[in-house]
Amino acid sequence: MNTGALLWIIIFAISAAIFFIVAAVVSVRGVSDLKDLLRSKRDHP
Amino acid sequence: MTFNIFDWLILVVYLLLTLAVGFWVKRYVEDLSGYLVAGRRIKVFLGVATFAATEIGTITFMYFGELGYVSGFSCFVIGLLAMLAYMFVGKTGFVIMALRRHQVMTIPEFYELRYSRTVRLLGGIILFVGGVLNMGIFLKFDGIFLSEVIGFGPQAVAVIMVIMVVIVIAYTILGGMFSVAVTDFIQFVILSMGMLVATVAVLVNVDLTRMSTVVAEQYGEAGVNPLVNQRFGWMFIVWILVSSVAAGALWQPGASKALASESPEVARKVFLYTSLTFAGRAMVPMFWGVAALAYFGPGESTTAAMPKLLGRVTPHGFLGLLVAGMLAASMSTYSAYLLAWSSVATRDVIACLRPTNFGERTTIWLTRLLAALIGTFLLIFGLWYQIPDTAFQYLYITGAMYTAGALGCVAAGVYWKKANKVGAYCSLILGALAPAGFLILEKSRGSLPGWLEFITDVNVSGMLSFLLAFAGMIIGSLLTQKSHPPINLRPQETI
Repeated sequence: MNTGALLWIIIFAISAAIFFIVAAVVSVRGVSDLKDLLRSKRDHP
Repeated sequence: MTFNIFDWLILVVYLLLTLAVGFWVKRYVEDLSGYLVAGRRIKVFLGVATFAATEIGTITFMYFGELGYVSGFSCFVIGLLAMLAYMFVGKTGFVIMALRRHQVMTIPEFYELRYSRTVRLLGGIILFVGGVLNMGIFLKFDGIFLSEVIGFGPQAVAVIMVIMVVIVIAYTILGGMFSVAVTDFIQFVILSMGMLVATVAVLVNVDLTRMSTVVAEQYGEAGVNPLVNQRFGWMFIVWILVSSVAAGALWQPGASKALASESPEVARKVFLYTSLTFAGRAMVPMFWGVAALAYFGPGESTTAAMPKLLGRVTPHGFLGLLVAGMLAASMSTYSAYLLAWSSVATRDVIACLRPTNFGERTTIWLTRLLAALIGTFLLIFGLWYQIPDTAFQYLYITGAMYTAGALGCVAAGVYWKKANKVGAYCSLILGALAPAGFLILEKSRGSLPGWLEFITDVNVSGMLSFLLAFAGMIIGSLLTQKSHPPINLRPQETI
C-alpha cells in the first residue's frame, strides 16, 4: 500500500470513528431534549 | 431483486413510524414561530441530531460516493475542509449568534432589519431560486440510489421519486419545524445505523490493499494528492473552504436549526458539536465510492457504482436497515429544505411585494401550499435535467448563487458599520452573476469566445462569485455613504 493511500485511510478511520461516537452520544442524550421540547409545549401552551 | 421479506418488513415499519410521528407532532403547532422554528426551544443534542440529519441526505452519499469513484482518495480533503469550516462557525459563533439574537426566522429578514425591505425581496428571490435549483437533483439521485440498492434497476427511479416526495410533503406541510425536528431525530439514529452497517459490509468484502492498488493504477499521484488532481487544486480548496463557511452559517435549511435553538449560545454549540461529524459525513460515502472502484473497476456508471456495491455486499435483513437509513437521510433533508424554501418564498418574496405582512394563519397556509408546489416542481425538474460536471460541483455552484452574496451582506451587516443597502444590492447581484453565467453558458461551452471560457470552469466561477460579492459590498458601500447612510442595529433589535 502506498504512503498517500495509507495516510488517507488512517484519516478516514479517525473521522468515521468520531462520526459514530458523536452519533451514539447524540442518539442517547437527544431523547431527553426531545422530551423537553414536547413537554414544554404541553406545559406552556 | 436483492430485497427479501425481512428487508421489506424493516422498510415498511420505518415508513409507517415516520408518518405516524410526523402527523402526531402536528398538534404542537399553534403559531408561526411554532411552525417555522419550533417555538425556538431546541436544545443542544436535539439540535445536533436535526442539523446533522438535514446535512446528510442520500444525495450526500451519492455525490460523495461519485467523487470517491472518479477521483480516488484525494477527494477526502473535502471532508477535512468542511469540518474546519463548520468548526470555525461553531467556535466563533460567526454570524449565527447575531442572527439568533435578532430572532429572525429566515436569513433575508436580516436584510430588512439592516438594509431595506427591497434588499430583503432581492435576497429572498436569489435564495429561493438558488435553493430550489440546488435541491432539484436530490430526488433523481436518491431514486437512482434506492433502485440500485433494492435491485429494481433504472426503470423504478421515477416511482421511487414520487413515493418519497409524497410522504415528505405530507408530514412537512402539516407539522412544520416540530415534525421536522422530531422526525429528524429518529431519522438521524436510523441513518447512523445504516451508515455503520454499510461501512462494515464494505470493509468485510473489499480489501484495503486492493483499493490502494486500483487507485494508483487508475489515477496515479492524482488519486491521493488533491493538489495535482485536475478536478481539485488550490483554487478548488480555497473556494470550498470559503463556501463551506458561508453555507455553514447562511444556508437556510441548516441555519434554521440555529434560528430554532433555545439561545444564541445553544446555536453556537449545535454548530460546534455537529462540525465533528462533518469529516465522517463526507469520507464515509467517499470510502464506499473508492471501494466500488476497487470492486467493479472503472467501467461502471459513476453515479450507480457505489449503490450497486452496497446492494451486493450488504447481507439480507441489514439491507432493509440500510435502505431505511438512506430513506431516513433523504426524508430529513427534504423536509428541512421544503420548509426552508417555502418559508423564504412566503415571507421574503410574496409578503415583501405587499405593503404589510400576512397574518400568521395566512403565512402558515401559504407556506404549506408552496411546500407542495415546490415538491411537485422537484419531481418534474429531477426527471428531465441533466447536470453539468459532477453532482458535487453542481450543488456547490447553485449554492454559491446565494451564499456568496449572503456572506457579503450578512457578515458585513453584522461586523462592518459602513455596510449599506447599495453595497448589499451589489453584493447580492454580483455574487449570483458568475454561478448563473456558469449554469447558462456551460451548455454551449464549445461555441464561446476564448475570453469567456473561464466562466465554464466550475472552480473559477465558484471562487469568482465570492470575490465579486465581497468587492461589491465594499465598493458599493464606500461610494454611497452620504447618499445612503448605513442603518446600525441595536444588539437585540428584532423585526
